[in-house]
Amino acid sequence: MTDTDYGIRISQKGSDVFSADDNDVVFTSKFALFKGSISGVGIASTTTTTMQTISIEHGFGYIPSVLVNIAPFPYTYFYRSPINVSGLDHDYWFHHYATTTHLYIRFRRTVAASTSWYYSYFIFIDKGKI
Amino acid sequence: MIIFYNKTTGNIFATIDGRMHTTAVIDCMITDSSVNEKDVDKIVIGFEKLDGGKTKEHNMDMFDMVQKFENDKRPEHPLKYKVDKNKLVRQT
Repeated sequence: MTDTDYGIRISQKGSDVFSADDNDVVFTSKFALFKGSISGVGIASTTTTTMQTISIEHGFGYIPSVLVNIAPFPYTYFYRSPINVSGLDHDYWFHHYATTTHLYIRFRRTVAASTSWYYSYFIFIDKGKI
Repeated sequence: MIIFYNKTTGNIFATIDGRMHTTAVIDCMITDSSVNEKDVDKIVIGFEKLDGGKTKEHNMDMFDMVQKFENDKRPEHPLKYKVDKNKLVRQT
């Protein structure tokens, strides 16, 4: 077995999963689809309105799809990044972006206040279309 | 699991989940703009996936902690722990 001849294939009923053409199978991991993820959690704090940046290295060499959730203390709400929440009780601002080497998560408050930020992230493994 | 922590305080500030990682992922770094990068260190717990289907073990004496963090009914949260003398110690 080599690096190029393994993966997952699902054939249609009556079709040989080993010999069917790629275009005739229901599913093949040969094509662009998420093949796993790097995931984790973290916590950081801010005391001023200065932007806080978390840098998560992935080193894939391509820009991956990513998903980031952020919960500012007291963790009552879990927001999907990016978001700009302004209101009587909230003044949170955060977003994220990915490059070929890193996922960056950035957040701040628009008023100076000591805040802890809990986040979770998923970096999906697949070159995709970008 | 890969645990990133501040060497000066022992505070854990980020993790990469999982039991098996490629060498490329193990070599990755997570930094926080409020932490001096020179103060960041990491602990790898679990298996490193090597070429030829081989694996390398890392800090398997701490592997029971990974299982506590992965427990789907009563998970322990890694961010509630500190690194103290290369051991994970729960903070109150």
